[in-house]
Amino acid sequence: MDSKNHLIGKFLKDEISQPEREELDTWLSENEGNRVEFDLLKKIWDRTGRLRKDQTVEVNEAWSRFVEMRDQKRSRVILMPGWAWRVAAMLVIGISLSYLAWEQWRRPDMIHIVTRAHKQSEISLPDGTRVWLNRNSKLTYPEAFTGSDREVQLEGEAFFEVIRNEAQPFVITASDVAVRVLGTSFNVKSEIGLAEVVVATGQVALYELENEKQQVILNPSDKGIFIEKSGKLIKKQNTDPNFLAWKTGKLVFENMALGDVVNTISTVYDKQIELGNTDLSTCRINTAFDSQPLEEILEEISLLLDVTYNAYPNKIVINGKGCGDED
Amino acid sequence: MNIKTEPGFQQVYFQYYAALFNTAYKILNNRQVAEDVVQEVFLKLWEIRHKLRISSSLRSYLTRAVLNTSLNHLKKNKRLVHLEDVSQNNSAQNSDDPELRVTYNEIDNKLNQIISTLPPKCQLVFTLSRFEGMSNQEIADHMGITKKTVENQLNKALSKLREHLRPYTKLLTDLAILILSTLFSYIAWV
Repeated sequence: MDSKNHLIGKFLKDEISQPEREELDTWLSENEGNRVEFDLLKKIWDRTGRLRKDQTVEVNEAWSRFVEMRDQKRSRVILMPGWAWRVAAMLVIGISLSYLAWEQWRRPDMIHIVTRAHKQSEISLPDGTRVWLNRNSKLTYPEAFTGSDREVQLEGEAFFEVIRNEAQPFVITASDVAVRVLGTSFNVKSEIGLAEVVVATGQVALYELENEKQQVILNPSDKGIFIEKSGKLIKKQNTDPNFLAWKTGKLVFENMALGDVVNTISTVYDKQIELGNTDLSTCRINTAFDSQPLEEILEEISLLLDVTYNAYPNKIVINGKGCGDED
Repeated sequence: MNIKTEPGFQQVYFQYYAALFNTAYKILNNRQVAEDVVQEVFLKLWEIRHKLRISSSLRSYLTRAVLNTSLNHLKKNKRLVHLEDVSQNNSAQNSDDPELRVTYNEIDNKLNQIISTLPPKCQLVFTLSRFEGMSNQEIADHMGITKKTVENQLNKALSKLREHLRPYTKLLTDLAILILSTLFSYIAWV
């Protein structure tokens, strides 16, 4: 019965589409109970519309109260610069020192960019190619691309938007595989014993370093996987809509099992999340997020599934009873 | 309008105060708290008026600020129910029928009470939708969340209301009948 709630909600809000309207009508005519349920919700909805009416407002009085508060505040604000100057001076010294240190450090020909546990990084390469480096990753590239290929090395995960140059292909080596492209965008993830490439636009060649003949060509929404142990290159369809969530912040869960949802969030937010009850893993969720803090996502999950969550220093546990076999 | 000068700022204040106050009032259900929220937003605007860069309109900037400040208030005062407003603000004043008035009162009080116990964000979405007449997309834009989240929050609010109003189901139905019969007797009398 709860599954029709979203239709009733849209109906009451007057944002229901024609097909949804038909679905709702069918459900209503199925039995008397549905109709009673619907009528009750509609009554509550109509009733709440009459609460909290527009209020009369004395703007003149509000303005004089505003002026009073503002002028009180103003006298406090003047005290600020004293410490603010000191902070600014410290910042200037700190920034110049780190700039000097950085200049010193970047002197060698090869540039290493390393990201830590909580920070991603966006890098522009000498040829204009853009790289988004995920957390805990490392990218190595030369100050200038001089050879026949534009060669970079990757450990971890990164998204590449390669500037097209047919005379000088772009080659990424990660684990024991290499990715060669002319100009396209794609995501590369290399872990111990495993490398994964998912293509967003254009075409990508993925091959083994020791045996260049062993190669697969990947097109948009293809996923290439290299498994070090077996030395196999596999090509398949990418089924994960959220493979770029770490970069875009956009997450979409369409009728997805909570077990999978938790895995995705866990990876994207780099936080260990557990289900307190294994029955929960089959609960299904329909929702979407756009660069929201983890706390908001957990709040919405608790809301949708009537579960609670507890945040511990090193992990988060979701508790509640399962959803049965309704799906 | 130049908000950097005092007269320009005052003009902005007079233009938007009433609308913003009502938005805050409908979310918070308390006149004093609503005024505090709006004043806080304008004080902030005054402080930053010289470096203010607004990409959209001043109106939507202010609305967004009022929503965020109200939400913070809801979060801080999760358990606080503004009882003083529960009884004084309902549609019963319009009714001459004492029985009708009591029933109105009872249900309105109950509704306000349930709404104030919803989780802060859920409460904000519901009040904006119901009392400010905002569309789901508008709410999503103002709050920086997805439309899907707005729908989910609204449905949650609705099912929470239903859940808590179960004991009042009969009352709601009675009320509908009562209104009808009052109406009929009025028509008959005319």
